Amino acid sequence: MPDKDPQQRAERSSSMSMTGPQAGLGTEEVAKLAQLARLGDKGEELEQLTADLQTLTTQMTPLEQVDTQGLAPLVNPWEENSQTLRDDQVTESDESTQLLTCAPACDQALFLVPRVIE
Amino acid sequence: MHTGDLHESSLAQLSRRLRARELSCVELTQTLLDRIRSLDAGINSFITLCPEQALEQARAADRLIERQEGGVLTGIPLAHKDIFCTRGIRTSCASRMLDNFIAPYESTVTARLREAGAINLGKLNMDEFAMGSSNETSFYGPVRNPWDRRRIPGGSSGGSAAAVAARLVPGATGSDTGGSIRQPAALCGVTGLKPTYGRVSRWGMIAFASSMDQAGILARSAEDVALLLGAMAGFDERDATCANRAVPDYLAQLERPLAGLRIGLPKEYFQSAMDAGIAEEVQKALDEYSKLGALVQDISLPHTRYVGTVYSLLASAEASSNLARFDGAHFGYRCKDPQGLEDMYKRSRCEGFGRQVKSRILLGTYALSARNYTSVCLQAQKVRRLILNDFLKVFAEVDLIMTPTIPVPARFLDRSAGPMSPCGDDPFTPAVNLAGLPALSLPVGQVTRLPAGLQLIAPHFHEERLLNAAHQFQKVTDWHRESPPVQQGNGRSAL
Repeated sequence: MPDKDPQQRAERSSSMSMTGPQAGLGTEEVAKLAQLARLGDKGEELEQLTADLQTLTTQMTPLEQVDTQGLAPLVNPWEENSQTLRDDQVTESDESTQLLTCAPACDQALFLVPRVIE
Repeated sequence: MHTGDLHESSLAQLSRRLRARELSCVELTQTLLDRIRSLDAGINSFITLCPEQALEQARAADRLIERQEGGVLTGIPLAHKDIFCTRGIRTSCASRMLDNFIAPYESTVTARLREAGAINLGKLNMDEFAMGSSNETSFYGPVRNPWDRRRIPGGSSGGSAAAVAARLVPGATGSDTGGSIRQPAALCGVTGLKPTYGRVSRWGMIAFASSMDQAGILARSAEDVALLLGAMAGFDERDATCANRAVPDYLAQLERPLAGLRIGLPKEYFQSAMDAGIAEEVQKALDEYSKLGALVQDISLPHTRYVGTVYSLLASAEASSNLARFDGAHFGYRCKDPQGLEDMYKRSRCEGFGRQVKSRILLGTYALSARNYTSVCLQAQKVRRLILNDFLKVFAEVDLIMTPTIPVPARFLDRSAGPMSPCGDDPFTPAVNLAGLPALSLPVGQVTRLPAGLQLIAPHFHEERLLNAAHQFQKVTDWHRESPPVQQGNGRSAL
């Protein structure tokens, strides 16, 4: 018997097809993600992260077939307050000296990093 | 002055005793510092203890009280989750990445509590970057549940919950992105409030998932939570998500009778596998509410089945973006002898972050990548709207929603466990964060000497309704007064 409710139909379909966020997450894909996120690219760690990511994604309920037509994405849960503006005034003093004390390496007003241009 | 039972006093009782000068702030602070030193080695709830600063604050508070100045929080010792920046005191977020980070500024929450006269005893343990619900991901070792030290206290505010439960502090701050206040409150038998998104400033609270993070409170009772919320809540121009709305007098509304209060029980939260003991304790609590005059009815939140996935994807996506700032260049951990800029970024992040954090960053990077953004991230945000709409519809019919906070008692610690699902240990709590609602967990019973919690959910900006309902329950029951057995510590101490 066909489902009358499109939502119900979509859910049935998605639960049977097993498609979802987990599709296509092999070591190669995870290596690419790790590069984008500037995280580990060593063999053993990459294998562990691939396994972790596969575990996480296979626990998920597929979303792609939920009927969301006409719905705007919800970014801020209290939308009444989503566009707070304030006057364009300087409110903080220059705290660069204090902030630089947190840096792993600095010289006067500069953050020091390894040489970029040879 | 007899100080032997001070730790058993509630925050409200301590406030009265301090102002009546039956007790000095220095005596109270010293008593709790001694208790922490004696007991916390076996619980590991503190990452950093601040005895000198605390005693200095206590002496200043005594001088104020002597002049009959100050307010209800003057001289009250608290401790803060190590996610709140505190000027001059290390803020680690329980990560190797920030093991050496001393913030040059103070978070709004800790500043407001300090201005209200509260004393900071130290910084509390948590899951690394608040990612976890068991407190097993901390760089400083797991927190142990004071009710049974072989078990988790919950997380990520596990240090806050354990410290309050063990009577080391009368109240503590926490943060809640997917249940991180309510779930540990339930597992440790304390009262925990996650306010409405926007009710409390997040300025200076290290970001995890910016559209869900909210600062909140863990304490013994709803009355104590109300006292603290009054000092913490309110507009802060430095946080663009903070609501510019008046803060009600939460204490004044605690005594309203509950006759006629409409309580909704979402069927989706009572259908899944639930521990029989927890189910029984929750039912008894609901019966108590009926006796208080509340009207209990069944409701439905039909998109509940998508909550876990939507939360996992969106929280991870936001975390991936927020944690991009940790690059080894500006602050925090830098690897040794970097061979170029790229190597510095990668090794600093790889060595500085723990496994759970890295897994979530990768999941978030996956959701945000160009190939998946529309089908995964944008779709999750649309389903998030359906989840919010479920709540808005139901709140036209009921005043409060009640559910178990977590369907099982505290599980055993297992550090060898693999990656944890972002909401694996707290399936009933993340929907509230997706919808930005306020919610509270209170202890309502025990299952083999392990606490059981009831979750109360209210419409946006109705914290007073949660506190009122919890307070009325606590007036006719004693679960919030139950203390775990005292054991001298013999585990790893982080102090």
